[in-house]
Amino acid sequence: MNNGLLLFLGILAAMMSSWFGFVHTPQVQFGNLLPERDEITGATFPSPRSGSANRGRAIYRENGCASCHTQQVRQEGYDFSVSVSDFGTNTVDVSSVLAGLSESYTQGSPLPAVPYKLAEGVDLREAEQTVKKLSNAGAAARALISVSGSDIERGWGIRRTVGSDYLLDAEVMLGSVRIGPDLANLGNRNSDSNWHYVHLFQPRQVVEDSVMPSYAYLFDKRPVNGVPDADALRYDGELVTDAEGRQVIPRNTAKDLVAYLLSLRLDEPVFEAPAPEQEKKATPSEDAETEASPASSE
Amino acid sequence: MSESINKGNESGVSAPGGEFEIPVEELDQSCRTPVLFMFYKAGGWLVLSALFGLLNSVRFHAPDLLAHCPWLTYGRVEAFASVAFVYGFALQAAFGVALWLVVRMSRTALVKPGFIFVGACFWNIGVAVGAVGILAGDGAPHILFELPKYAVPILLVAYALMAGLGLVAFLKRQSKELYVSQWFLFAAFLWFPWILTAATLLLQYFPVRGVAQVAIAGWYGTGLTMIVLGGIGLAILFYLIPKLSERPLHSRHMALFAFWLLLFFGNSAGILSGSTLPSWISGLSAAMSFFVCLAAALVGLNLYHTVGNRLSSLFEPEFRFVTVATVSFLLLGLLGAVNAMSGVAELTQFTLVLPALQTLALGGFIMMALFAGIYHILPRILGINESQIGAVNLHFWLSLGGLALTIGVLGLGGLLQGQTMIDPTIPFTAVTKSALTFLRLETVGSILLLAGSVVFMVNVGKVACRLVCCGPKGILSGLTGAENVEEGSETAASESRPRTNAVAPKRAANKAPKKSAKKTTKKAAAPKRKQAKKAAKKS
Amino acid sequence: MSDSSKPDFEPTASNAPVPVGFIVAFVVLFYLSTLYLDGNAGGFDAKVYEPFTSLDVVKAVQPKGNMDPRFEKGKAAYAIYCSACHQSNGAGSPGQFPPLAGSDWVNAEGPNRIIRLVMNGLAGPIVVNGENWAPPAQMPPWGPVITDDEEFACLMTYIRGESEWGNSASPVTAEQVEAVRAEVSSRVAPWTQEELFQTPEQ
Repeated sequence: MNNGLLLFLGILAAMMSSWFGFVHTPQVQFGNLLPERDEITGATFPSPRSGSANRGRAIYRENGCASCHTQQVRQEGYDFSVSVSDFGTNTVDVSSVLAGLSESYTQGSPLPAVPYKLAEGVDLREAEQTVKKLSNAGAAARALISVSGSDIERGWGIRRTVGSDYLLDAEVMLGSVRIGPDLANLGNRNSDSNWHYVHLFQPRQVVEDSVMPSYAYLFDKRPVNGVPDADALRYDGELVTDAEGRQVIPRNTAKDLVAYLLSLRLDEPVFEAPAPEQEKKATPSEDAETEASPASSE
Repeated sequence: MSESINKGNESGVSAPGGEFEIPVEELDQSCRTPVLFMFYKAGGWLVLSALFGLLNSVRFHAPDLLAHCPWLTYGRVEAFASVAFVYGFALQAAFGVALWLVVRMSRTALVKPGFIFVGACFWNIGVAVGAVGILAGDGAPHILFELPKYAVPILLVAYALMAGLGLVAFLKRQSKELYVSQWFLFAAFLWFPWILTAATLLLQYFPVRGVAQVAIAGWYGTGLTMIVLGGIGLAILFYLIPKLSERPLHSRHMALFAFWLLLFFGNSAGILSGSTLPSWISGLSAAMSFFVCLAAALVGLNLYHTVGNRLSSLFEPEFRFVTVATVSFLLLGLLGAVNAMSGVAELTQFTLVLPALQTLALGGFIMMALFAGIYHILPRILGINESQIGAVNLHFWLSLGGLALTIGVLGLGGLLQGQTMIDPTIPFTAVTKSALTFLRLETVGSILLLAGSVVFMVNVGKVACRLVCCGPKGILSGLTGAENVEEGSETAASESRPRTNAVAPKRAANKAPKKSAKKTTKKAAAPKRKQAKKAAKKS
Repeated sequence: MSDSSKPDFEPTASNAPVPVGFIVAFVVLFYLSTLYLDGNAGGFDAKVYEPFTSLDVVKAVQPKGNMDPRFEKGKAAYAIYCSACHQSNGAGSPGQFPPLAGSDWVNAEGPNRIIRLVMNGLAGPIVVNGENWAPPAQMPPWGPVITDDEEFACLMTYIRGESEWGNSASPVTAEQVEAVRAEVSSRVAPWTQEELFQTPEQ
């Protein structure tokens, strides 16, 4: 290789091939996707964030939160089960079919309550055959997908993340290392905004072993003169104070950041990653009750 | 310059370096100022990066450290350290080494080194603007692409100045043969502006939507590590190993094969696996890792045959940095392929294995190769003896210790973290706790690396000081051994060598102000050449 | 070695050939990669993510509605009795057989008229979705053919509920069919449009 021009052309070809494979094709394939709008309900997917949450996303980026937290969920596998919603009227036939399909059911005994799940952990083919058998006997049944994976079992989302989840974000912050937990579904896991404020101010007050740094500069610290302010942070009914005993009040930046964190949800199935439908929790508000225990979200 | 070259060819004068008429001393001097400046600045950035790295490492012992300072949050410090290392140290030092290599191998002096100096200044301004911008909260959220968008144009202008003149030297080359290192340098120099411009435009000025950003950022990061920095690193290895063992490279064909493999498959190998991207991207990327592994094996075998029966010489002082860099490169190729296998990927994904591999690539391979290059170049551009550079030994052991500890601890911690993470019955607090011990141990590695980088900066600073502060006398005395009391017995040996004295007056003559230095070079070319010849004969 | 007084040895390269093993390894690797990508790259489709292997698999695992046995029964009956004229896609054929897909007669709020129409057949012109149809042949009565009220009801349920046609009207029960059958048992002649208009929709 002593010919400079040949070398140049070869390098150019290599550059072009990697450009074509990893820049051009992704850009053409999914760089221009638009959020999908459901014609019937009028809802868009992904659902747009509020203005406050969008400002919060900028704060998330500024502080480099993505260096310790991912926002992407893995899925190891998927399987199927069959759910019967109605056994129909042909009790005799259904009973005999069901006895052949389910070990826990013996023919002739009273039909179980609906919705009744059977044939769990089978593949799609087997599930569809089971549905067919039940339908032929007059029962209404369908195959349900269920997804597996450690991330999903940790409650970090009902399915894996896919490209269309991030369509509305100006900068996509997937992260790559989990020094802290994944945040893709944080809004569902813990929708208690107060918990998040306290956690940002002093993580170790709510999670004993947390290694997260304190983000105290997102809060105003003011001395208590008599009665503490209404919006001062409280935890477990007690006023949260800094080292000097001053009350702590979230600044707008903290409010935006928490709004963003609560807007992170991974609870809707999509075409690319079907998942069991889940009843949705209400959109969190300032004083939303939380069901998730604080410890489970760290 | 070309005039004198033609004249030289007509008169058939042969320089001491071989069949070329410009003596190597003159080549080395043409790039002295900018290259030395780049090395010095690179050392400064390296110390800054290590300092910030240590700060973040200490955070795992005291998480509330500097909680009231928004400019020094963990994420910003992390990005700052990365930018300082990659753009401040690695790229800058790589450009310096690459310029010297281009000049040396093309056998043409650098034209207008002043412009390169200006380019290097711009580069440092660009990195500083970017780094401060990150602390102020303008950083981008992509690994190896944390620069704020306003910093990139400055870097590109700086790069155009530096690389443009390097390219001129390359195009005016006097050597008939294009040596292996030149391929890698040429590729790296073409690749860098291309990927930086593309990534900046597509990620920051006209951002693409959704995870296409992730694909592009991954493409940029791998390209920067494997082709740009990796290419310059390999150029150093391919240059230094034959040179130090004084044997020709075993096979240019094997090198060529490895070169094209790396170019076509290295830019996108491995790093994207496991991200939220369609299967084909991660699949393709994983498949490419195996080709990179093949290329690494080719490089390893080639260099092994080059060293030949003198394998033990790899542990000699002048080989040490090169050896560590080569071993790191081979490990990187192997581990990249292992990490791309489906069973392993699930375990290592999202764990500390990723930073461990990154440290192996950027620290073990590229940083060590750059150190090797710098310690090889410094005495040549300054006309001093290699033993006159301070504590190289100490620097080596500190760096090696720091790297080994960091990579080992992070890798081990990452594996443990991965093992606990894929078991959903273990609460995540326990997962973090399992990694925390290792993250805390890593502080020792950070301290060693910081110490190593300080030693490096002092080493470069001391010789640079001789040139800049002490003026011609400093150089003179450094050569004649007048102030060698502090240097101890090491330099005593150099005193006895005849040639050092013979070159000294030439250095002195050349110590005129930098701007006129070039003119002087041109005018005084003929007499100096004679002097150089004399020197060669004497030795 | 570190002595800079010695002229530098500038590296050159010899011409040893590439070991054949590497070339073989490259070819084998290339072949294996294409095999791997063939099976694991999801056909290079942007909608395929791990752990799914191809777009067909993704489509197959999409959630489906209940497999309703009555609907399936109606579908089977439609294939036997109706699809010859109205086509299996319910589009009918221009100038001869009016469409069922999207038809205002089929999708009426109540099944009262459509049951009668199918039971006794239809003669003469008819307006479907505001369009005048004058079918050359009259529609035969199906009441005497489909004697099982449940099967008849399933057929009605199917044509009113087939979402692939865009129909989404309420299902029909055997009781509704039974009631109509009793009411029109004496009728032999097919209905006309005007007569049907006199029957309440529900």
